[in-house]
Amino acid sequence: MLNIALPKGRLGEKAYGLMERAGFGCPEIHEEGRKLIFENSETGVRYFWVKPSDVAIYVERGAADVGIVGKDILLEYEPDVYELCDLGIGKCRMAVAAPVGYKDNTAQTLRVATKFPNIARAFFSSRSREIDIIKLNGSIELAPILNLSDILVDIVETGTTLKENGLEPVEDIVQISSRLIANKAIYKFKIDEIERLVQGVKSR
Amino acid sequence: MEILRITDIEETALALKRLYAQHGYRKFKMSRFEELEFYIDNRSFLEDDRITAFSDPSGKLLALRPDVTLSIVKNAREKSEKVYYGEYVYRTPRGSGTIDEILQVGLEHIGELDAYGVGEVIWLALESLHTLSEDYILDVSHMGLLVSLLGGLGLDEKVQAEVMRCVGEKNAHDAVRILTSHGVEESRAREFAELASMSGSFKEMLPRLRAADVPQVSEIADELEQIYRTIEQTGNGSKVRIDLSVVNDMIYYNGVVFSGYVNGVPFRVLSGGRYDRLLERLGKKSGAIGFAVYLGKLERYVPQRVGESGAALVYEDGASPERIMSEMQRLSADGTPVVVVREGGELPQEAKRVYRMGKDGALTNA
Repeated sequence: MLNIALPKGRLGEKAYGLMERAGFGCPEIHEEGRKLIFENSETGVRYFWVKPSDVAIYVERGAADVGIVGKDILLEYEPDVYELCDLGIGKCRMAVAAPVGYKDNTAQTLRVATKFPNIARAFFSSRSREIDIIKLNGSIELAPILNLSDILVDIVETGTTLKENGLEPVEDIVQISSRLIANKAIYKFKIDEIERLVQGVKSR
Repeated sequence: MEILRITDIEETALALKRLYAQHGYRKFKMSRFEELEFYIDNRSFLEDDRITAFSDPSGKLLALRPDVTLSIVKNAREKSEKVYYGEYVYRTPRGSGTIDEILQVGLEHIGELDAYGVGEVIWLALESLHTLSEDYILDVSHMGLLVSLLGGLGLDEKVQAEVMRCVGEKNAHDAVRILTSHGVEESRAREFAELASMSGSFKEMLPRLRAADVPQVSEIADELEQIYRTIEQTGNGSKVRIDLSVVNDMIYYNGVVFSGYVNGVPFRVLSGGRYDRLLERLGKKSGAIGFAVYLGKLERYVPQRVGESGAALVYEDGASPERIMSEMQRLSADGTPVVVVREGGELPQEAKRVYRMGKDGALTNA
């Protein structure tokens, strides 16, 4: 039985679609209700929905054998897992954004609002720029508008939200997409099942 | 099936230490502290670079030992030295603010190493895994191969480290992306990624390895084949595999590297490799290989056994202590675990037989 952690939401549903088409379906998952775990003994899979940022923890600690997670989460938390395949879905980018026309004052410490402090720290440290990280959990766009921060580091899909709030992307940090990850130890003992899933998903 | 076949971590530590001693390794006892500077100088040898430091009464900065190998190597003579240890190391897991004390048992062989010496250490690693479980795997790789593979691509150290990280994650897609963005032709990048993600039995992998267009590949394949032949004749052939995603730091490790796994435990339980380069950095000219078993992390996987022959002796208020003591000794004379409980107290679950003693000292089998 392969235990698969899916991220709650649109992306998780899309990822499930890929797996279903690859022969790892579980019709029960479409039923409405509050159930958290769905199993199909015929295809040998057990799915569960978890918060997207928790998928890597479930896999790293072996509660799930494999999982679907955004590259942003992998870069931020650096879990010790195998990253077996780029699913090519959930494409977006991690970018630095600032108020339109913003000019960096290098005489001052740069205040950066973000949900991804490690990614932001690594990026600015590679530029030798001193920064003050302001860790927020949502509505990052508000921070520069209310002068809580100078700039922000966040995921940008279309850039519409930024534009509507007088902000613009200044620089891309990294391209993001969803990845199929596996627990390193479990992989050793379920290698055939996991590789069958990887190959199935890759060929879709 | 139970995940581990051991019943107690401390007893397992003893069994492993006995195994190493039986093959000529001598015990190495070390201090829990080292000077902080020593670890800072060799930071990238440590699996985790977070070190817990404090100052001693004279103001000297010390660190709680995060690693054992460094201390052993520092003290080792250059001539052949075979040592084992069972020590606690102190680490701060990622995302945690607390310091973990982890029992680690392992060995190091420092000195002139020949093919037998390397084979013996890998066999002892396999025997250590076998002590823990029936179902285990030792993945083996060779740092020389990865260094040779990467060396021909003309990348700077930082990019090499990024690519090595991808190799360790079996992340072929990002490895190709990084390589091509640094001027490596796509076909060559794909070839690299394909080779680096190789894993399978020695029999299956060795011919594939030999066919690869990599400098020194034939010497490396010969070395791996020799290891396999040595291990195969111990009956462990199916328990070793080649997996090139086993990577350690290139600055310290130069030869064979390996990781051990037990079915049902979701993390690596054993890790080791050949690290002649660490000795070189410490000004010693010698070979070195060793491994550690992370015993302390296995506690929650030890099966909770319910004793089948356990007994409880329940006494009524008023029974004489000397009578209770004499019956307890009689009942436990053959090694049976016996728990003495006052009437009304909680009986242990594992008690299969319950004896009752009245206030007059008479014993009944309830």
